[in-house]
Amino acid sequence: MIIGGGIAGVSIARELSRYELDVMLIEKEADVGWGQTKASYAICHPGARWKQGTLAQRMMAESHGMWDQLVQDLDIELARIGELVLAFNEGEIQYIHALKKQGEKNGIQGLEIMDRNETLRLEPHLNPAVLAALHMPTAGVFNPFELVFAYFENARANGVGVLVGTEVRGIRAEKGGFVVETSGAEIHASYVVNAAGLHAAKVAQMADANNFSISYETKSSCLILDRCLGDLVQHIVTGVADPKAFSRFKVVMPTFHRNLLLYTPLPEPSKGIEDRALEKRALDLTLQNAKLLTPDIDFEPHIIAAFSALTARNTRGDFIIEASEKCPGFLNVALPPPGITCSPAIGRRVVEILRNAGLPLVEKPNFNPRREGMKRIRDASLTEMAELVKQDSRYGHTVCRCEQVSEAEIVETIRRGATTLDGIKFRTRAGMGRCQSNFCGPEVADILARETHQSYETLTKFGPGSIYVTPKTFQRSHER
Amino acid sequence: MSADLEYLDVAVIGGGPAGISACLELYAHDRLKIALFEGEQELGGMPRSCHIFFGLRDRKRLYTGPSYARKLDKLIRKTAIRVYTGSRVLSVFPGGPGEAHELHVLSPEGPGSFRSRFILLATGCFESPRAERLIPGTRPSGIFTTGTLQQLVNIRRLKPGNRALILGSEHVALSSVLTLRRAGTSIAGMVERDADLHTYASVATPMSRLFGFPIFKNVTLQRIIGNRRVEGVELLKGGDGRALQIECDTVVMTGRFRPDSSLIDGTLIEKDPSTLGPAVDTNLMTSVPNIFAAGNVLRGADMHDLCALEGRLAARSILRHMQTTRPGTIPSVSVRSEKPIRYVVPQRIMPMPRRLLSKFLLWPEIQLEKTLLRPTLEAWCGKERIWQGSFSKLIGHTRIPIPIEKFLWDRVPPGLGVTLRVTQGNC
Repeated sequence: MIIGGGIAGVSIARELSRYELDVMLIEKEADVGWGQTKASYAICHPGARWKQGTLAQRMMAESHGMWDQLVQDLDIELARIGELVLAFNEGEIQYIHALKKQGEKNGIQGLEIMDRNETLRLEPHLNPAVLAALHMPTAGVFNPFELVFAYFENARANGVGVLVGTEVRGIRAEKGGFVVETSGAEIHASYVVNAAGLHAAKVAQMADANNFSISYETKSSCLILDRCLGDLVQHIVTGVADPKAFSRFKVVMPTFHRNLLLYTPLPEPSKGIEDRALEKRALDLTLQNAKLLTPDIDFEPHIIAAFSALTARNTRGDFIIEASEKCPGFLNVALPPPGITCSPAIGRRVVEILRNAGLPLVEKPNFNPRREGMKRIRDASLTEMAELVKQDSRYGHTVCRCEQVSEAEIVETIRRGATTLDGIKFRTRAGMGRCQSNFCGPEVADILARETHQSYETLTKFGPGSIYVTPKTFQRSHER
Repeated sequence: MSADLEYLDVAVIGGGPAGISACLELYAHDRLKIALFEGEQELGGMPRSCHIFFGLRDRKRLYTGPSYARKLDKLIRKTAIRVYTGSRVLSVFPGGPGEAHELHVLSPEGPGSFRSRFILLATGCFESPRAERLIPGTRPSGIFTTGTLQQLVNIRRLKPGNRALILGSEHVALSSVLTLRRAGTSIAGMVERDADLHTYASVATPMSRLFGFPIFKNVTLQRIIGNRRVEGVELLKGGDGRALQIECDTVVMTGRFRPDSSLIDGTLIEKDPSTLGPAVDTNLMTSVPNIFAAGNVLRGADMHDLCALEGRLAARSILRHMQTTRPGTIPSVSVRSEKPIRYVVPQRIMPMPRRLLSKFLLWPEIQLEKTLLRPTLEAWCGKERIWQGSFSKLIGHTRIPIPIEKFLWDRVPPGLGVTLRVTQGNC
């Protein structure tokens, strides 16, 4: 039993689906990847920022070689665009040199300190006050939503059972395993993997297996800008946000889909794990920090989405992936960033721990490592489009005009497990463009209602309580 | 639609008031090979989901939104113009000098390519999303733009919520009021950041009395509250800085329209950074010869009938350009604007009388960021003031025509532009 459908949970589920096991993934939200993962900046870190010998660094190094295969197998979106860490003063120059040294110790290739001119030649829109930069060419960007869904779909195709919209309420030990009390039925499991992200400490406590706690949640703020700015910056451009911590930095970067993303960690910790509201000063700080990196880009008119991100940091300050000593058979997985970058290795490690704990692992002969990605009109050439439309004329019906998403793609995501409006949005990008579903929102709702045989009143944006319209239609008034 | 390349004289993109009116005007003058592309299944554009008061200034009678759309549809179906509905134009590839332009179009019959001597962009506009307005708070369900609201209520007969707060006070906010009331949703209030409304107070005030909702002026939306569905909002009064909580389950964001100009992204067609739409000259031609633009793609929302008139004007320009062999020989002057002027359209003008087609379509036009009392507008060329006009009140976010026939054009040397600015006026 895996608790939590974030990047950790789905990648573990996929790894476990290689073996003859009865695996169940349970997620309290209506879909997977809706906790910390959804609000990630989705950088594929080369790993210079993490100290050698930490579990995070080892996982990162191990994952590094696994991504190319995984990109092929799972048909996921990763672009290795490289990262530039900017230095604007003497202290920051020392910082990037230290970062380079640590990175080289960690075995990262291609690290290079560039002078001002070289840096500005690579990125002409940078603040000309820049003195030097560290170039990390192997850094990349993911489509984080697609990545989670890819792990999830592949795990499911290989027999992992899934319970979404189901919350774990209690865990008690029984002979040879655990009973997990949920908002639905009670579930018996021999082993439990706690990958509950922000809620990991709470879940561990239920089983009395908490030898750590989530000490604080750092909060950061993220702005997504229109694609028309996406080509102004080619690299992940980061700046020092906290000279004492390599892992806290401000960012201006293109996303995988060439939107521009502005990211800033906030100085004060969150007020709790439900504190998802974005404050005015956070928005202002994000813009202000981004302006320090790239002052001549006019961000304001092009902001299309803004959100805050909570990140769970545990008291040990490193990844926790281990069997509980107090409570054998219960595994805690608590990942401060960069969980996404390390996800391929995390699954393997969990498998090793389970093997050591006595779980017999027999490889499935029919394990299929491949997951077929979505066919997307946006990426198709005219000839490919003609082929797709021939298969299904609904590929020719564009629903989301900003991101060019067709009706057929929306129907396909519902087949793949989307049950909510956001579920469709994060899988297809319908509504993620510049109009933010102003035009296509009701049409996507039409399709979801039709395909799932629901009435409008039961449609939700992201699960129970988030109803789209109120349960009452009104009568037709006299109309010409 | 066939996958083979098809040749057209004029391709009109967008089947709303501007696009259809342009088609009709083109057709009335010359039997050209014209095609109209509309992404939706039905023609008519925005008016399809709106309600009252349509057609006054272009069709000279009163229609409802849907009946206005049907009227336009009926008129164009009578012609030999090829109408492609459900056909989304994916991209426009401007041709070189003297070459035809290319279009890629996708419909349920498959993708198609077209070559056309002339293109008219009439793709309309939309309201800017929440993030652009930098509204803090949570991100629950129940936040709509007027555009979405009208689709839900007027087309699908759905009730968006029980109690709604309206953000913004442009004309479209009044339309939101009517739409919400039609669905039986009560109104928690209308919030305007500025000290003055961006619409006629003489209409808004009786409306607020009739439907019993407060109008908050000089008040900002401080945060949206609610984790799953909107539960309320916190407002901040500009005067005394007091916070005020209001319960509601719906927030409607109105106004702040922006052009739907994604087709010009990544092309040579110049984009005006203040309108975010294509920059045009007095003939409505963009920076690329033989590509024109009309209607709300130029500016964000204006009245549909003015868009229709503008469509006709673009059609006439296209017809004129077809007859001239040496296009682009008329000198034009670029116009810029300074804050609090939001934009000026067209961006390149010619010293000519401003009544081009209709007494209603006065040019060029500006919009102000906010309502100003007793402002003075001025036009400058270098260090020389070439016009000055005083007004008792100018309403923000509405069309204000500039009388360029009064400009001292003899003081504008060739090659220099004109700048419009506001010198006095309190808000």
